Amino acid sequence: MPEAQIERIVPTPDWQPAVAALDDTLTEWLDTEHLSNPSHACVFVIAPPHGGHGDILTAWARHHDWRIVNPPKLEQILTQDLAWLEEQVRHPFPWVLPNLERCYLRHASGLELVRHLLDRSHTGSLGRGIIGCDSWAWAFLRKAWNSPEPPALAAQGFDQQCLARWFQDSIAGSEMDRLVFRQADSGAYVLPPPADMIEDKSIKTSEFLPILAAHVRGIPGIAHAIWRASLRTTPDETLSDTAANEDSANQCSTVWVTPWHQIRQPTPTSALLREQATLLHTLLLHAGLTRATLAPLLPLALSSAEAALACLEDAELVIRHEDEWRISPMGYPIVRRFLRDDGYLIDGF
Amino acid sequence: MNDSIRGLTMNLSHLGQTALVQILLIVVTVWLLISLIQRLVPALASRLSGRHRLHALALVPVLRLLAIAAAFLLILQRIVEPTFENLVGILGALGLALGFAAKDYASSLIAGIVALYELPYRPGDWIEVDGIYGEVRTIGMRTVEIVTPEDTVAHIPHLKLWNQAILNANDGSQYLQCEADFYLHPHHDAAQVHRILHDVALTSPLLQIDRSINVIVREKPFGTHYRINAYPLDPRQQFAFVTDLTVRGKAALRDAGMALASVPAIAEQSP
Repeated sequence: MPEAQIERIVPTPDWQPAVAALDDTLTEWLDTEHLSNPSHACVFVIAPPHGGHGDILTAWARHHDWRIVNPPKLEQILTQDLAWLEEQVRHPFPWVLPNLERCYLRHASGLELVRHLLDRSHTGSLGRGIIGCDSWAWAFLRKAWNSPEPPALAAQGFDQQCLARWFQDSIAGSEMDRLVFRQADSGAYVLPPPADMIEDKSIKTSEFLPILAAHVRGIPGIAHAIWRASLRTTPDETLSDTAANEDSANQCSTVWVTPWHQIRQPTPTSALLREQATLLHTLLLHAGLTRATLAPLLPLALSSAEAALACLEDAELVIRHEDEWRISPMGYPIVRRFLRDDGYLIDGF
Repeated sequence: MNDSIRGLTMNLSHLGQTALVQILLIVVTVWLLISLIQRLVPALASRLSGRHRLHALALVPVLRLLAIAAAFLLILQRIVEPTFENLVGILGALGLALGFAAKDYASSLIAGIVALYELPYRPGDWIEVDGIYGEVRTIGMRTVEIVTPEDTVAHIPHLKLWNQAILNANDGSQYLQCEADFYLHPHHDAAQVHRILHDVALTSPLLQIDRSINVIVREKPFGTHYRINAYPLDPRQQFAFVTDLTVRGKAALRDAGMALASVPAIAEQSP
């Protein structure tokens, strides 16, 4: 399917509903003027990779006119420059730090600053604030920062109903709301069709969405990427004749969904995963890194790190976003499963 | 006893051609089965990781012992009538022969069976016997085969089990403690160095983070000795892990302005 058409059917995620949900959850905390426990002055919002926590918190902060705290520069982290932290304390306004994972490095000199930040947020001396953090970075920081578990929020994972509602809502109200989504090999409906469109109540429904929800562990950003990759304009040959007749009879047009087992997903060899496991893990712990930042964090020369990244890009496990390397949405479930089996620290999602 | 041996001799003399063929078939089948187990299971284990690999490897000697025991019983049934007298006779004769002719060999075989029960070592374990350190690759009937860090294969007879200490670094688990040593000039802030070295271990990409990290400090006549005790993700990464701790530890100490201890070399004088 052409990219422009995919973009119309499955647009870039709009996190506004998540912002509203966060607002509802925080209502009580926002309404409490004097907190009995100073450690509750800061609330943590934890989300898995591709869960959109940075965008959600930034949007929330703009909506409430709270100050957005930018992460320190790389040099400030490594030199443990407390001036960055003092700068934040000087402002009396409530604040939002959307990406805590950008405030540390898994390096012998890369933890002091974030420990100071977390200690001060725990004592309430930074005032009221919200800290967003990637779940992998959070898992590591919980090991590096010895304190009782602070109050933390996490969005509920998307099950098949949530995914169906989310995918349908993205086309609702547009000229595309006469679209139906059916599996390309069996014709089974992947998303429930509108009630007025199909008279036959005994329609066959596909198992695609339950499988997708389980595979992506309820992470919306990853489900979104796979959903985009699964759409196509034509069904399998066996269905093509009957499909055209049904479309005209039901006055709708069909978007065909590639069956789950036919979706092209990364298939790295176990040898590649084992050789590059530390690199993949390091990328996950920092929610993405630049090439130059990656090398000092690994027992690798810069040239070796570049070669490894090229191999992983070929295997579609990593992607380059601007100057930064990240685990690809399609590769994430495979990488996570491998790292878990190999005994690496993993997130709680 | 004499009657038993006389009866056994009569049974053996009646051993027909069919029984001999059957025995031969049993031996060949069991030999093929053992060869298959010894190739297939390690190949399968190499595709697994962590504790699953160790569990799969540990199956090899057990399966082989079961195959040999089954073969022994099947052959025994074809040679003698399995009465109490016959069994006493044949086992007694076997014991005498082994005791006199191949004492050490028999001792190693028996120690091999004991090793399967007591588990002083399993495939995948890192052991030290008689000053030889390496990873257990296979457990044979008579010897245990280990691969040293220099990639040298050493065959160690199981009979060492009787009277020598077997040092097992990971004891069937994937947790193997490693040590990295640092020696500093005595005039420094020990608490700061302790913190730095703890973070050096914590930030190692090869660290098994679920296990504890300990930094032990001891004062020596020439300076202060720091030792990081921590666990790598996989026992096979132990040397890479210690190297990583040492390289990054030295860099972190240098960045913090710490001076390493230096002891002037003293030539040894002959008496």
